[in-house]
Amino acid sequence: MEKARINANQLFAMIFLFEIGTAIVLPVGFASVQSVWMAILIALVFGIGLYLIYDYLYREYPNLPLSGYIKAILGKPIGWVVNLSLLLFLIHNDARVLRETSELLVTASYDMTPLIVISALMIVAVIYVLSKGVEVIARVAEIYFLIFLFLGLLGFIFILFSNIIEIKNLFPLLSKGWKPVFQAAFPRITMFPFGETISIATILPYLKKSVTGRKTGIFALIASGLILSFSHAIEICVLGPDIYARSTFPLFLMITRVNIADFVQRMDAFVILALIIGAFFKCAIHMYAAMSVAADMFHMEIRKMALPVGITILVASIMLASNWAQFLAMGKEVITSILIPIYGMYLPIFLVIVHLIRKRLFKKS
Amino acid sequence: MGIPFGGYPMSFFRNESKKNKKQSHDQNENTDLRKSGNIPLYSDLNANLDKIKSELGNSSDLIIRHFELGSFQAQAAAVFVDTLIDNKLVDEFILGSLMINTAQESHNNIEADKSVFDFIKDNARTIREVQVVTSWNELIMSVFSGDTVILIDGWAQGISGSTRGGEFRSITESSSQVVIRGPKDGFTESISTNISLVRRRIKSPNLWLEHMKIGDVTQTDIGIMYIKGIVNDKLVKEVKDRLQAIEIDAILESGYIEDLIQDETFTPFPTMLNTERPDSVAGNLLEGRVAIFIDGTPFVLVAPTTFFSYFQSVEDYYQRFDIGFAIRLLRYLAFFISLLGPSIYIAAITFHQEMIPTALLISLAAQRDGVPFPAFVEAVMMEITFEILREAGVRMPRAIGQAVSIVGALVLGQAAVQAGIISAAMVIVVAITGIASFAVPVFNLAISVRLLRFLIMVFAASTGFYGIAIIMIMIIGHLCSLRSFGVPYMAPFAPFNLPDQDDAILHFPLWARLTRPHLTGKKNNKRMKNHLAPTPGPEEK
Repeated sequence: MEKARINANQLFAMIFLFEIGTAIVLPVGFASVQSVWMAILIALVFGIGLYLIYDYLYREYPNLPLSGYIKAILGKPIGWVVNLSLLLFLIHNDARVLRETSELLVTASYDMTPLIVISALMIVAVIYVLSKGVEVIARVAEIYFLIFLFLGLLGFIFILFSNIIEIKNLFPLLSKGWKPVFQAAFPRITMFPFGETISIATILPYLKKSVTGRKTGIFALIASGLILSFSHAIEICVLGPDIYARSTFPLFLMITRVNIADFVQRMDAFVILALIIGAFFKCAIHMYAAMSVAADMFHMEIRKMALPVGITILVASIMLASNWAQFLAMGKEVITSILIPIYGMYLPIFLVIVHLIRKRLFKKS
Repeated sequence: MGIPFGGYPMSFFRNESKKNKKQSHDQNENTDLRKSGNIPLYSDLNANLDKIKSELGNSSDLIIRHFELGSFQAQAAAVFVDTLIDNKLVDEFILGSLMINTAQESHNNIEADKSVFDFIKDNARTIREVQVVTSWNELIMSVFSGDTVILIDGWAQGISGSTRGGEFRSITESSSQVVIRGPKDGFTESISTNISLVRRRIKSPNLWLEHMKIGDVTQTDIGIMYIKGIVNDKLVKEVKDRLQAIEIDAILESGYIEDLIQDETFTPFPTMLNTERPDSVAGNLLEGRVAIFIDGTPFVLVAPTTFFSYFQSVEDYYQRFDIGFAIRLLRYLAFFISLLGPSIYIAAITFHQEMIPTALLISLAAQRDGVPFPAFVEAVMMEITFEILREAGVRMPRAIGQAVSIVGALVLGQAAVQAGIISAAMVIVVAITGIASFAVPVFNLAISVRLLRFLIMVFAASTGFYGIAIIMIMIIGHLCSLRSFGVPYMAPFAPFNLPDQDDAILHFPLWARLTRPHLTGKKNNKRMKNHLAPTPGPEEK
């Protein structure tokens, strides 16, 4: 643990940017195209549920990070092994975020630039900021939260005035009934982006007043969930369900349609900027979680873990898959349906159960 | 300007290190006097004078005047440094009060059995401040501060009268921070003048001033000024602690102090404000900051500062608030243009041609048709040329200023385009960037922008807007990691503080800026009474 303190505003900004992160630019929940915005709202409820579990563990162990209470609950030897696998998961997941962003950037406008250059630049920025400590990333989040809101508002106004929103694209609602909506909501959207909130559990113990954690977190989740749902609904309105379902980068496609009086057009930079900001925070917070776990396991200073963990993530992101198709296939099969549920949901629930059992046994004896 | 390096052991070359050893040895001998300087004076006048002469190496501006004290029949001598004193004061002190008056009044005193020493001390009426010096240390210090020391035969004590004076620049308008509306007086090189300029503005007993001397050789006067009750006491203590920790041979300018007490050295961004304007210092003191006055320079340091305080000009507060607000926004815009101007041009022309309107793109392509270099090389060339021109413009003698501007404008601007070395659009971009950087009101920050601009250009040339976005994240991360005397540099945005938003990027009317900025404490932060907003008076019937 570092000697640092963050306040509720900063936590809010971090969770918000983390959730919005890449989820706003990527298509989520393929199964239910027109109803995707509903699926996001349903997933939000599950997401809040997950957050309450993390918050419960945090309240029980307010001074320990994620890896700390894993050791406290499961005992040192088992805890160490669980932490190791958690570390690998966090690095893997972060490598995926990095790869995904770089691939999107390469497809969107850097088709001549090697992937590794894009990834390396991003990881350099992440390493630099994280090596300054959690307080700095929290403050950067506060500033970028304002910038992000400004970008979002401006983008929305442009789309509104371009007269390209067609509400009829949202209908028929629930064309195949509620079932596909729920299937999309759980586990897929619940896991990505909400299940990844487990990384925030390593940041919670820095909070100045631990009671603010629950309220702030839930507000941040609701705010980000609503904005996600809204923006995906707008994307469907503008692009139509077919194009939306097929594109890899729907937000980008949408913004290219902006045209006000033949003067305000080609606003791609807005979306690219939003993607970079979102990806940066997603990458940084995942990496901070990985650094925190690694530092706890190897008894090192957290800040000094930035370089080794960062470089590992960079190399892993390049070696993950040999091309985009393979990467996507792996993502669908492995990440959202196996890995994130294990670490984002089953592990915390398991921890709560063990903790409760131990508490009861302890009381009796 | 001679910057003393003698005391530092430099071992780049063997020969030099020997020389330096000798030098530092010499210096030790000089400073010996100060260290063992608490030895008392002799009681024999001639012995004292001989020692003074030998200690000061018979400096030619050291004046020793012998005289006899009227009816006391005592030999005395006045010791002073000719170049540091006010001639009129010394004449009055020695001639008026000691030579003539003693002759008239001494009779009564001899009868009253008063000693000659006390007599002089009590009767030096023409002098504001009289002190008794007993040791060599005190004697030397007061002589070199511009005092006149009277030594009397038979007394192991001296009387030091404050006769400080000499030539100073008079108060003129500050040349580095000019305003259209507002007071025109600027600080000078004399610390006492500077302090008086601020004191005249804040007539409060709570305006406290603390004094210290820094610099083993220069013994520079430093004044720490703050308003008790508004300032946070921890901040004052922190400033004093940092100043007291300084052990250096010389302080020649406020930059020395700034370098030694700032929070972070490896940053292009300034964490202490320097100003030549007394109204700016007064305003900052009233917001709970600390001012550090340094003798010998018109620049006064103010701490703590935040990033946003570098965009505040004193004139914002003297103008109508809406105008002030608009102009402040313009300054932020200028800051971003000067930081990102060439980078955005490079990124757009190299990577994101699709973002440029077609008509403009065709025109740009036509201009760049004969240009042999990529946009990045072009931009770096022009930026460096511009920086050289600017630097030359600052340092060169005024008389040849016109030559440089002709060469700069015609040869490097127009001719370079006509010769096909650079494109006309690039000249425009560089010119706008250059002018925008002058709109940043604090010169410190403008310099840091000049540096960072080149770094951002490299990123823009390698990966376009993505590179710019990444380097901006890193710069903002860097800014967020900075502190100025415990205050986060990006306050009030990170950490966010709602009451302080009234005067950061936004600028509220005076009656709406109710509280002082939240710096390190929340003490006494109410600035004025509520509801001072002007309303129209009762209607006439």
